[in-house]
Amino acid sequence: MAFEILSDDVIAALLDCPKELVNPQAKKKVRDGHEQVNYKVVSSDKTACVFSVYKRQNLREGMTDDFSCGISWVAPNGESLTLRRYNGPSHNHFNQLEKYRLGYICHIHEATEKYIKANRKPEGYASETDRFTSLEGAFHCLITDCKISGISTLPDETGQTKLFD
Amino acid sequence: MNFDITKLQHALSTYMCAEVKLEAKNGCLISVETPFFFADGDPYQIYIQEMPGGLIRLSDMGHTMMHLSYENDVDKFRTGTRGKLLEQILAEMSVEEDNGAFFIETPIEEIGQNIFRLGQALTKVYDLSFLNRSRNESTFYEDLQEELFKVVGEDKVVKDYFYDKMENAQDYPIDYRIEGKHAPLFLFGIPNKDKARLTTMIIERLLRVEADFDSLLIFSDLGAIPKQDLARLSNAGGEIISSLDAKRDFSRKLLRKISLN
Repeated sequence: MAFEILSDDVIAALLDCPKELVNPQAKKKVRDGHEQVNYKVVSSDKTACVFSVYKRQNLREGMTDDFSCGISWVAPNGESLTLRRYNGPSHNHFNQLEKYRLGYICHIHEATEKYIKANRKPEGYASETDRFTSLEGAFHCLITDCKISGISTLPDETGQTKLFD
Repeated sequence: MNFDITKLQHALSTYMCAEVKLEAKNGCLISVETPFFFADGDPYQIYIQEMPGGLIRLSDMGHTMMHLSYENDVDKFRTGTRGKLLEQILAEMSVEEDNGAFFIETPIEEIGQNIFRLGQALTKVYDLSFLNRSRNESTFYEDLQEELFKVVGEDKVVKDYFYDKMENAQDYPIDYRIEGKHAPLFLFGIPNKDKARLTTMIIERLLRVEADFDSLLIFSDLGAIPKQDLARLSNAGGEIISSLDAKRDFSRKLLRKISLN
């Protein structure tokens, strides 16, 4: 594994660098009953780091809440590391090191040095969020949080004070 | 043995009961919470659907394949070695598949054992992700080294050697150098087409400076290298071993070229 030495600072830098979409022609595909789109993104600074960004929606009846989108850093040796993943509320995520379940709630996974050092999946830690309720809303948060340009998104109107409330 | 089996039984049953919970998801599905988790802490998603004839269907509703697709090209789970292994897992565990959803149909009385059977099958399916390219490559190099050290003592092998009689030698690493009968033997492991191209360049470079050496090229899978890359490398390099499975050939070709004294 190439990621044993990754620190929280490096992970933060990878998330924080401005990024540009490389394949605007990326199309939706249906595979195994879910819809998927895969984007390729490159940092626009001199590091030219490569990332993959993905969107997934389970299309089966009753599984609307089973959605996911995320960003992975593709290391020069070809291995990839999920930096962030935004999940729907279809499952009860368990934070293995902290030993607690989040409940059936939208949540955001993030790669942390703590989980890497403990030999766990880097993105094993997740925290609950009310910033989105749908895949499109989750994708908007991902694109905004990770400073990706070239993809247009719309936020969910959740957890926000509405103008006329 | 000082265990109180009744007490152990009670503790185990309490734990199992606490870990398996049912929750109505919507009008057609009941979600089953189990102690099975993916490596990232997300649980396996297992659902109960009512079927005709008093049967129930336990299904992952396609979530496992979707979860795998975050970091893997799921098309690769349908072809080649992975495809065969997937079919084998489903057959062994008597699990069926409907367009990426894995399921078992069972009478209510057997639901407990079948939840565990489906959980075990999903674990095996998820483990197919360990067969990705970079992991295969790293295990290939480990296996190559193990075989090499078995045939030739570790003390006779120089790993990551640089031929310092040429410019920028550090840019042209040689996997292993072993003292040869007539000239040093340079051994290269070739797990993929990129390494095949790099090795061609390194050997061409060595030939250009008229280095005196023999070479031995060990492929992870010769059949997986594109023809043109293979032709270029074969022209430049020496003996070839098509895969590490050919242990006898590996040992014969190696021993023919090296000096063990």
